[in-house]
Amino acid sequence: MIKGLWWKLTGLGLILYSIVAGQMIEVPELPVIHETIRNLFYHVCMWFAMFTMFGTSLVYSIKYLTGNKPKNDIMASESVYNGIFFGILGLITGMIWAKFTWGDFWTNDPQLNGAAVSMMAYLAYAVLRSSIDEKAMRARVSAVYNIFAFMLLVIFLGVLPRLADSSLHPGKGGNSSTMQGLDLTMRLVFYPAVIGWIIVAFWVLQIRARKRRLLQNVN
Amino acid sequence: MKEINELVRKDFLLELRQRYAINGILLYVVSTIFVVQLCIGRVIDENTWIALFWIILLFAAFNAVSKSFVQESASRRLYYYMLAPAVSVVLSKMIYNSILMLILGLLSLIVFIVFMGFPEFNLALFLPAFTLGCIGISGALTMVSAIASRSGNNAALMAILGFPVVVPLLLLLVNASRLSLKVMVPVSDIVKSISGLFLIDVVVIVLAVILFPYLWRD
Amino acid sequence: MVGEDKYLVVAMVMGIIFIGLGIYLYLIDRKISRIEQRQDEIAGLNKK
Repeated sequence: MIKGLWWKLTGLGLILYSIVAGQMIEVPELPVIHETIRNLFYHVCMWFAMFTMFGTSLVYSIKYLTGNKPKNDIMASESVYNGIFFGILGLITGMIWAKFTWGDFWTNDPQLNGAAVSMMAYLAYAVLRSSIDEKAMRARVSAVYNIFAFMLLVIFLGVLPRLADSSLHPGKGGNSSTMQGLDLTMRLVFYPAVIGWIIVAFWVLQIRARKRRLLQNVN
Repeated sequence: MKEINELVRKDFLLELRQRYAINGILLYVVSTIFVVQLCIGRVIDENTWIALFWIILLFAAFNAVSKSFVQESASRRLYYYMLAPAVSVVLSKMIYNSILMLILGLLSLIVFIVFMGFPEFNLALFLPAFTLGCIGISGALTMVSAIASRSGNNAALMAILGFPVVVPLLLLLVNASRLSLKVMVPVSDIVKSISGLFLIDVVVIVLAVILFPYLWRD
Repeated sequence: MVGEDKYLVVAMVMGIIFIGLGIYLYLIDRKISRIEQRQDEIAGLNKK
């Protein structure tokens, strides 16, 4: 009945596995983080899913600008909204994690500030879309802005934290990387979790885009 | 090339006739600095100096640049559209705004020095960073104002869209200014912060040149 | 290790919540597939 049921169920299965296994496995004993390292399986996956969604929307925006097909505009905007959703989940899980390791919900960390500002850029995308009435113009202008927003995302999450002098996040600004400290059992949970969340993100995106198309047909 | 020259010249002529941007914004800068001086006095520490200077310059830039596409009426846009390719329109606007921004920046720097004093900046780092920063901010805001002019309420949208775009530049500028306060700055650090700014400028300009034609046509 | 069953409880609760979300997604997908089919049929009828 449902098209592509196998990959959708694979995604759900991978996440379910990561949720159960993420709690059950033995984790290495690390200072400060201790058992909260398990949040890695949930928090980091949100950012991976968000990055994939924004990347997808970049691809569709470029496609829209080269072909002017309304279907690409639907995909681009829906994947931005979906990415915002996963980004907010990533912020929330990160804030809870920060409360228990760094002692505060919000710290003045380049990675955190970058994430906040790039989320703002994408929220501005939503505002921009709602402020233009004419359909073709809205699609074109928001596609142009979307490319700018992706550039900001890359600068904020990829470049600036690495340039910064100090960062609380592992792997940035002279801090040791957890990726090196990640032992084999943790990898066996972490990678499936990332893949699973990305698959489910695409599923949600597909559902949203199909819903938009249905609504358009009705109108 | 010829169109760019003509378009820049036309913008400057308009500016010289109206003296809207220069006078209004200088008044804004002077009064803001004066209020700051009334509030916290003349002697402030260097970090506050840097933060205040860039914030005031940023808002001046918003005011100066936001009108660059808004003031063009639909009929005049059509006229340009037939007259010149989109790339030269956006380049001319960027050049004009960068020059305006540099003039405004220098004037407000002078006002700042008069009212607030001048921290011991390492000029070899501060001046290039300042120049690149002015070019980057005005380029990014030119593009944002082109986007905002395509929608209804562009004053509010300009702020919403522009803020995230200028934040990375602002962060790099504040970092560079802070770095230039140190007595002995290693050359590698100077190169690093200047090249960061330069990279963002190039990315902004390249993106604007590629993307502006899509905004320009109706 | 102390509190080994606590981890089990947390895993169970999170798993059950997630299974609920999965079923929700599945149901929405099915519903949308059904509506799409119906729309295609209507479009086919209109063409005739």
